[in-house]
Amino acid sequence: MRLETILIAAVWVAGCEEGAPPELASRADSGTRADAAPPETRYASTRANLRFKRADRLRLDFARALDLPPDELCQELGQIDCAGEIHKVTLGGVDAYATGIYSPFPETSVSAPMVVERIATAGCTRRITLDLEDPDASLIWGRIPVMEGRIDVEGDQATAALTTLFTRALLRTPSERELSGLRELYREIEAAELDGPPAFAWAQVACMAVLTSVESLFY
Amino acid sequence: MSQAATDEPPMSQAATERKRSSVIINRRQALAGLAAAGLAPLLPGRARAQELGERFLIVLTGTGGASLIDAMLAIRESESRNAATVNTYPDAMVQGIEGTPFRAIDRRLDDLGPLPYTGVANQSDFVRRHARDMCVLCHSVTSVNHLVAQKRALTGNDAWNGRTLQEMVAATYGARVPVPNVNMGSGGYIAPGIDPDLPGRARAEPVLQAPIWSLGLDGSKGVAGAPPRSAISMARRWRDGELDEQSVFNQTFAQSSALKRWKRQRSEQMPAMEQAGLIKQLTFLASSPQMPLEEFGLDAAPDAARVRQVFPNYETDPLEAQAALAYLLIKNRVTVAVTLGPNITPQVDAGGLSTPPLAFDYSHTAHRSGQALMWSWILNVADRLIGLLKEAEYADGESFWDRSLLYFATDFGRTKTRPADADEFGTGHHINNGSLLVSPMVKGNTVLGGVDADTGETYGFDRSSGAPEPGSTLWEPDVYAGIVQAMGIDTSGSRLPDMRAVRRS
Repeated sequence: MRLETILIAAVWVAGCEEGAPPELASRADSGTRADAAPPETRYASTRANLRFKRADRLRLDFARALDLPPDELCQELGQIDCAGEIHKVTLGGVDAYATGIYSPFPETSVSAPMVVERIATAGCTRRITLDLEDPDASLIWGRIPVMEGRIDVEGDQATAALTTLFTRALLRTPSERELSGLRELYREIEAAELDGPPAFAWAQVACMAVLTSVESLFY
Repeated sequence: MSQAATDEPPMSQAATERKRSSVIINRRQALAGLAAAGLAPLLPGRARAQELGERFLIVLTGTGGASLIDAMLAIRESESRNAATVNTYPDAMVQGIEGTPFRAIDRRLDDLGPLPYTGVANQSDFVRRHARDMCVLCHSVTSVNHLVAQKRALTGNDAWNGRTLQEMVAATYGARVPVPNVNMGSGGYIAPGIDPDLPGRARAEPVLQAPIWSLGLDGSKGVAGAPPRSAISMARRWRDGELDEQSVFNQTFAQSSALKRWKRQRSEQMPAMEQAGLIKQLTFLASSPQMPLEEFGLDAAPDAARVRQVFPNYETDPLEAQAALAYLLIKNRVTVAVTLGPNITPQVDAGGLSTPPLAFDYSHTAHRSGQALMWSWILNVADRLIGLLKEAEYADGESFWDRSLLYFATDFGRTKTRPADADEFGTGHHINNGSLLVSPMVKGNTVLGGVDADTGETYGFDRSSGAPEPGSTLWEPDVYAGIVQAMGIDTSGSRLPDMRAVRRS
């Protein structure tokens, strides 16, 4: 774990000890109410002509969802752009000048699922870090009250954060079932007593899971 | 019981043979069953090698057109009636390698045509070391367009359902390895085949940067500040089982083949690759301020130091880096078909230019120096890769090299003529050429076909006996068939020619 992350996590824990948890409310106030239930499936597409978003579109979509500059989304070893360079062809990008790959490979490569998780995890961690550094300007996570690294996942602020996450990543509000699933995920993580504050780990993996859902990766 | 058994009438010889073959089949079935149950490691070494063994195809690309008459098939001036205008070399420059049918051009280079360069190009070292595994096939190709010809060098011009050689090998031998087909090539050499029925696992995994590609082989390891592994597992379970399965999007597009493939990769291949620790097994970089692996919780493969010793220029020479990764992919049984080769970008180090622009295609500008330097480079790297594979035991005294075939694929040949007596000149593309195979599985120390010294063009051979046949021409499907058959792939029903002459008996 990098120093930056440790410090932020420590701030999150320390903030609770002073009994002054940061006020939490998402910027996306309009998205605090979840749908009562997922919409009914209207039909099953027979053509089902889905396409993987591929490197450039994914990079820009993730960056937009997390409000990060694309080149700050993910850097391998802290220096090599993940989707823009090292994993570009793996994610279906082209590389005309160096390797003469003029058209994308027709199918997703075997390492692509791992690569998208890496990019999402790196971007989500960066987003959480920024949100905690300046809760007033927080985009998603920074206003959830934290007590000793734990949160009230049933609280309005947590719901607001998750709603914002869904709205930004999937362009829709979450269903009650989806909210319940993420709350249950938090309880699982908290019960597992992992290293570090459970709230931080939960925010990371919840964000990663939503960004790497098939709804986010295909169009 | 034993008495009853001895009372049985003696079996005929045919019955004895049937029973023996039945025993063999049962044994094989048992071994296959063990393997399918994931118990392959429990098998005795020889049985594992014989019954479950992989064979490995290495494709090293002569990008731009590696000309055989500037290497193993070089022509001496004294042998040609058109020596002044055909691409022949001074007799003293063409080395005959004793005990072999091969020739070699070793020369000092004082320039690369108009570009500054000094150095020594050497082919003879490789030939001396590997002649007994070397087989040169003389043939022509059907295109002088780089991308088309490159792809045809791998598909045999769609000789077998449009599958590339690598795809065929991956489909045949890759069932138990995590990434059967890894391709570090460029242009047409990295293009996929066109068989829609090819198993998805056999399709090539493209690799752009060999030294750091392994960083993408784990969903979180090496990501700064990544959450604990178990939290990731919990989130994956929720995403895969709940979020995705219940979403309207997923239900609407459930029949999408792309979606099905993605879910299969995510649920089956990803966990297998992470559990196998490929991110470590395939990392050969040393941690340094430029590549701070340790800072990100990463470490290198156990034999990374040996790999770096053999390929010390891996940071500046992409072909060395590719060969290092190729070795680890094979030695760790990650891959059964691996492709590497120079691309058209010149390498420039502190001493200046170290390889020409456009790889072998620099021959347009300076044929002889370009061919000499490129051949020297790829042979030198191949020599070291073979050496490493010979060092590594596959099973029960058999090395990985014993089960490998190295195919020097090339686009096409180069035009055979030159301005009168010119020592340096430019050449164009030519369909006539040949291919070099190196493997314990091919008929070694052999040139199949020959060269007409008066024209500089190669001619074919009898596919069964290997006898040279001046005036005949073999084509891409013959090369394709020779390779897959040498690798033990059953080609019955494929309509490929029987290339018995290529196989080691």
